[in-house]
Amino acid sequence: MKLFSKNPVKPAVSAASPLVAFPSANFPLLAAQDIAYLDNGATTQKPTVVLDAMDQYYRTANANVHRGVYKLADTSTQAYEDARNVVAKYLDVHDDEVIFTSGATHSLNLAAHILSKHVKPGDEILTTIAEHHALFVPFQQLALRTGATFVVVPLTDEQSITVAQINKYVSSKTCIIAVSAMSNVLGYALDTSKITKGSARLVVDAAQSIRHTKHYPNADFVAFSAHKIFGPQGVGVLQSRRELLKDGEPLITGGAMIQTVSEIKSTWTVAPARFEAGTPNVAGAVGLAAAIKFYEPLRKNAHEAEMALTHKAQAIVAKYCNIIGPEIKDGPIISFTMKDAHAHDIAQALDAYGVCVRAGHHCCQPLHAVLKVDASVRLSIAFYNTERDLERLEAGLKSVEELFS
Amino acid sequence: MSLYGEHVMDHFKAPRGRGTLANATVKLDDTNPLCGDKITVHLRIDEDGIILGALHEASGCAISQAGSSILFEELAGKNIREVLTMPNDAILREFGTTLSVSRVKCALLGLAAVKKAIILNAEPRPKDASVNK
Repeated sequence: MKLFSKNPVKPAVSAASPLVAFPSANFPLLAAQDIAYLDNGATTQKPTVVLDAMDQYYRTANANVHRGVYKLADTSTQAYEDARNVVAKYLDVHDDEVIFTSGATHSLNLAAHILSKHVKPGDEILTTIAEHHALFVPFQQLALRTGATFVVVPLTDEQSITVAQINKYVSSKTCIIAVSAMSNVLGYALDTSKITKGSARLVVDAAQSIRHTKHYPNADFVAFSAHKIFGPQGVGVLQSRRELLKDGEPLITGGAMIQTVSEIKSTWTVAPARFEAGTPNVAGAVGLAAAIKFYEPLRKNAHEAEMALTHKAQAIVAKYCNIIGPEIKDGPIISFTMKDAHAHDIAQALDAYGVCVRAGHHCCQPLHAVLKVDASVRLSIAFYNTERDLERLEAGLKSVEELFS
Repeated sequence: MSLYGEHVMDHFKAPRGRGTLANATVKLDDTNPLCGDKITVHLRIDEDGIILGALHEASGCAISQAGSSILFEELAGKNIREVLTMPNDAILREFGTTLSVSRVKCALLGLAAVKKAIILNAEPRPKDASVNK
């Protein structure tokens, strides 16, 4: 396996690495390609156990769920519901509070839709300037549709968002607070349980934080994607509470979410099926469950290893670039710009060194507008990254600096 | 071969055909949303379709700025038919390596904007109308 054998003089991972603590951590793509994959905020690579679980599902258990009476259909349904149970245990909630979606974007749109009937003209929907479009836009549109005021919490002087900053903007009119628990650009994290929400509903975008934080006790809705926690793309979760889901209006209607249909009206079944119209992504759910089972035992060590590497990466980047956001990063995410070099040129030049990073506005145009930056480069670390990846990063940044100076 | 070779970096660092044209017959703004590249094209085209003057203002990534510089260095004196039929590859091959799909748009922003400006210039319009798009 590449991570252990490529660099015997200077070990790619220390003895304390979670990869040593968890020897089954095997990422075929990383083993096969000589790259420094530092775009984990966009999507993580997939371990063999996840690929195998999905492969096995299609090879041995594939049938449509919740429909057939034959054994194979039962097996498929069982695999799907077992996956839901794994997710529910990870989040410490009831199984029927876990809705499978196509990803965090779908989840957040669904949350906005379910909450829409509680919003009146003059109410306030509160979010922050640092949010991903997947959260910012559905709640902005909800405000526009309902006549609510869209309140956008600005950055602190440290180019961050804090719970204290959010709490300053919560008022008696606030009916929804929708924020991410970890910024996909600035690298800060929020303890969302400290948000003083009053009677407002709290929606937490956990896309970036789900690898690091399992529980969001104050949240009414939690959204995340499987592919940012070593699972497959195309599947995600919206978690909520039974009482909120009970009368929630579905966003998508069709098969599998029906109680009765007549020529003049239809009624919906109970959650979670109520919100899962159509044939679900069963293999995706199975893959997500495998990812959680794989990751949970090494989560704490992985977080520590990622943050140690993040601090080293920060020192390297600071030599050549301007880092955006707070100085202390809570998550393994560093965004930066370099004088005279455009973000896309930096990312392109780094690619020549096998370094994979993201360039652009990272789906955060309002944030980049207030930062007065057209585009930034983002590197985001996962526990399988190594010091060697950072050496390549440094060599790449050095060459960019020479090229554009 | 690196995308950021000497030829490309020379055009990026010392871009040709930059500026504004007071007597332009057409002026057009264009953008490339991927990198946020921006260009404003100023062309002076006579009644025979000859480009008498061509300047541009630009900001954005090195690839878009070099691509525009490479084009504008050659535009003056050309017939608009030659420019409208210019293949993308005429610009792309100047980069000396294959650009990824996303960066092709950067390299071709200038050419695309000039072609749009030529078409806009040919559109009938009242003499005092704004020539902005």
